[in-house]
Amino acid sequence: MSDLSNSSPFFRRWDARDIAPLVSLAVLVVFFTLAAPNFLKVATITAILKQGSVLAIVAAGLTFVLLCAEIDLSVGMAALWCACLCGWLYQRWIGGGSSEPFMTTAAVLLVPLASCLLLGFLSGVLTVWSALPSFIITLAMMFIAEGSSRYLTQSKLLKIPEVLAVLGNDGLQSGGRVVVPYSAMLAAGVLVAGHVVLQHTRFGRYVYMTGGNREAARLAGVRTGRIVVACLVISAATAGLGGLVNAGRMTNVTLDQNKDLLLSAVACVVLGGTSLFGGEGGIGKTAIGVLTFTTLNTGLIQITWINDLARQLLTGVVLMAALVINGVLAKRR
Amino acid sequence: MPVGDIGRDHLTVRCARPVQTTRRGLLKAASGAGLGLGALLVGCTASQSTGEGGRQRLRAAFSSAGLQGTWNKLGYDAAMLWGDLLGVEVVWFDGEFDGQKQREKIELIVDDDWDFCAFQAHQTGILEEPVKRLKARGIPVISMDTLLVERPRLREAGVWIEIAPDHAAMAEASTRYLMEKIGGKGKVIHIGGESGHSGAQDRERGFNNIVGKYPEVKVVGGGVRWCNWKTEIARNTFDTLLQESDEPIAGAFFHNDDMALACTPALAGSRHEKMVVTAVDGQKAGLTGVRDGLLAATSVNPTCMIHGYSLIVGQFIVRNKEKIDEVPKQIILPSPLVSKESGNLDAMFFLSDPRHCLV
Repeated sequence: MSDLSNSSPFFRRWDARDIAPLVSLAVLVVFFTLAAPNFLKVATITAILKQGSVLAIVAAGLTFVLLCAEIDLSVGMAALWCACLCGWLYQRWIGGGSSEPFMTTAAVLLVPLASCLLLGFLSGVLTVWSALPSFIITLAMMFIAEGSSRYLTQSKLLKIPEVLAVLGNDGLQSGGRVVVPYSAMLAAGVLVAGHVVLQHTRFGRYVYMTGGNREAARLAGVRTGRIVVACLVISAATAGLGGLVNAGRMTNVTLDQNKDLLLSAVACVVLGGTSLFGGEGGIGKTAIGVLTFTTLNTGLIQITWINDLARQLLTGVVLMAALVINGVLAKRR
Repeated sequence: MPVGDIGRDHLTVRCARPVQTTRRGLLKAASGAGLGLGALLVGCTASQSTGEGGRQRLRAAFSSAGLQGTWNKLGYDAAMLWGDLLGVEVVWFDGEFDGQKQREKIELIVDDDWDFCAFQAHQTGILEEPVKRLKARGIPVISMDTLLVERPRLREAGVWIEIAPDHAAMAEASTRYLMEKIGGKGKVIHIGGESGHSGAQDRERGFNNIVGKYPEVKVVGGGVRWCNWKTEIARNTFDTLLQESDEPIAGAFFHNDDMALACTPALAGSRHEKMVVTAVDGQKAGLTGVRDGLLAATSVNPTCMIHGYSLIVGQFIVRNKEKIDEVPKQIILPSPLVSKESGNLDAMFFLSDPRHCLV
C-alpha cells in the first residue's frame, strides 16, 4: 500500500483510512448477500435508501460541526421540535382540512425550519460568547428543544402536511414500485451541496482550518467564532429538515420520534472516517458511513436465523469492529 | 356485558365474546363502561356524605412509564379529570420511558404525605423497593397496567390491587380477527413492543395462541420483531420484512396502533397493498385508522379506565377506610375489539374522547 501511495497520485490521495470504511461497507454487502437470500434486490436497496435518507440529511449537517472540532448534541431533539412545530402549525392553520393552500403549507414547512436556524444560531452564539464547550450548550439546547416539543404537542399525535407524507413515502417508480425515493433524492441533494460547500468554497476551507488548529486559523485571519456559529446553524437546519422528512415517512409526528437520531448520526459520521477532533473528514465519508450503518441494520433484520433479541448486540459488535479497524488504520498512517 | 365475576382473589370485568359481538352487545359494553364509572361515582358520593373525613380533599401520587406516549398521556388526562371530579389532588411523576429516572423520582417522594399512590412501572420490579417503603408507612399502592412486581408477590411488596387489561386477550381478539380476514392462511408480520414489558410479552403469547391454530400461516422473519414501541424502528423493520416475500403478505399484527399507523403508508402502491393490519390500543388515532380503512381492527386497551379506575378505587379505599383484605387483588378491565363491522366504533370514539376519558 505504501509503495502504491508513493507511486500513484490516486493512492496518495486515498490512503488506508480513506479506504477502510469502503471496505467495511463492501464486506457487509458481501456477507448479507450470502446470509440473506433477499438482500441483493432492488427492493432492499430502495429500503436502504429510504431508511438512510433522514440519517444522511442530519449527518451531513453534523459533519460540519465535527469538522470544526465541536459537537451538536441537540440534533435529535431539534429534528423533533421542527416536526412538532410543523404538526402544531398544520393543525392550527390548516386544521386537517382536505385542501392544503400552497402558501399556508409553505409557511407550515418554513416556519419550523426557520425556528431551527434560530436554535442553531443561539447554540452557536452562546458557545462562542460563553467560551463553554459546545457539548454543554447543545446539551442544554437538547433539553430545551425536547421540552418545547412536549409542551407544544401535549404528548398528542399530530398530523403533518400531505406533501411531507409524499416526500417520505413516494418516489420515482418503475413497474409500479418505488425505486428511487424522493427522500433519498433530497438527501443526495443535501450531501452534494454540503460536499460542494466544504470542498470548493472559502467557507469550507475555513471550517477545516478551524477544526484543524483553531489558534492557527485565528492568527491567519479566520473569524473562527463565526465559523462555529455557522456550522451549528447548518447542523440545526439539516436536523430540522431530517425531522420533517422523518415525520413525513411516519405520516404524523409523535414525541417518540428521533430519539436515537443523535447517536446514529454521530455513529455514521465517525464510521465514515470523519474525526471527532476536527479538521479531518468530509461529506463523502459521511455518505459511506450512512450507507454502512443502514446496510448493517437492514441486513440484520433480513437474516431470519438470528435471534431477534441478539440483533442489537450484533449491531454493536459490528460497529465496534468497524470503528476499531478505522482507528488502527489511522494510527498506522 | 361487561360481566363481573367476583372471585375470592380477583374481580374480572371482561367481554364475554370479544370478537363476534353484536351491535347491541357492543353498545352495551360501551355504555357499561360508562355506567360502571357512573356507579362508582354514585358510591363515591354516598361515601363522601357518610364517611368521617369523606369530604376532605385527598392527595395521590401517580406515575406512568412515560408521558411522551399518547396512550400514557390519555391515562394522565383521565386521572386528572376524575381527580378534579372526585376531589383528589393528583401529583404526577413522569417516568420519561426511563426506568432509572422513574425509580429515582418515586424514591424521592415515598416519605411525603399521600393518601394513596398508583404507579405504572416502566418495567416490572423497578419500583419494588419504594413500594415496600410506602407499605411500611401504610399507604395503599395500586399497580396500573404493567405489574409493579411479579403477581404472586404483589401483596408482600405492598401492592393492594392490580388494575390492568388482559393483554393476551387483546392480542388474541385482534389476531383472531386477522386470521378470519385472511382465511387462515398466508404470511403475516408480527411487530412487537418491548421484550421486557409484561404487557408486550402477554400480547406475543396471545398472538401465538391464535396463530398456532393455523398451520397454513407463516410468520415472516421467523417470529415477533421487537421494536421497543418506537415507530421508526417498527417502520424500518416492517419495510425490510416486506422485501422478504415476492408474493403479497396477507396480514400484520402490531402491539400498538402508533407503530401500525406508522407502517401502513409503506403498503400504498406495493404488492402488499391489500394486507390486513390489526393492532392494539383502540384510542383516537387507532379508531381513526379503522374508520379510514388503514387498520382492519384494533383491540381497545382502556387507558382511561385503567387510570380512572385506579383513582376511583384508591379514593374509595381511603374514604371508606377499607382494609387490604377487603379489596380484590386484581381488576381486569374489558378490551373490546373495534372494526368497521363491530358496530362500536362511534361509541368508542365518544368514550375515548379526552373530554370524557371513559375507555
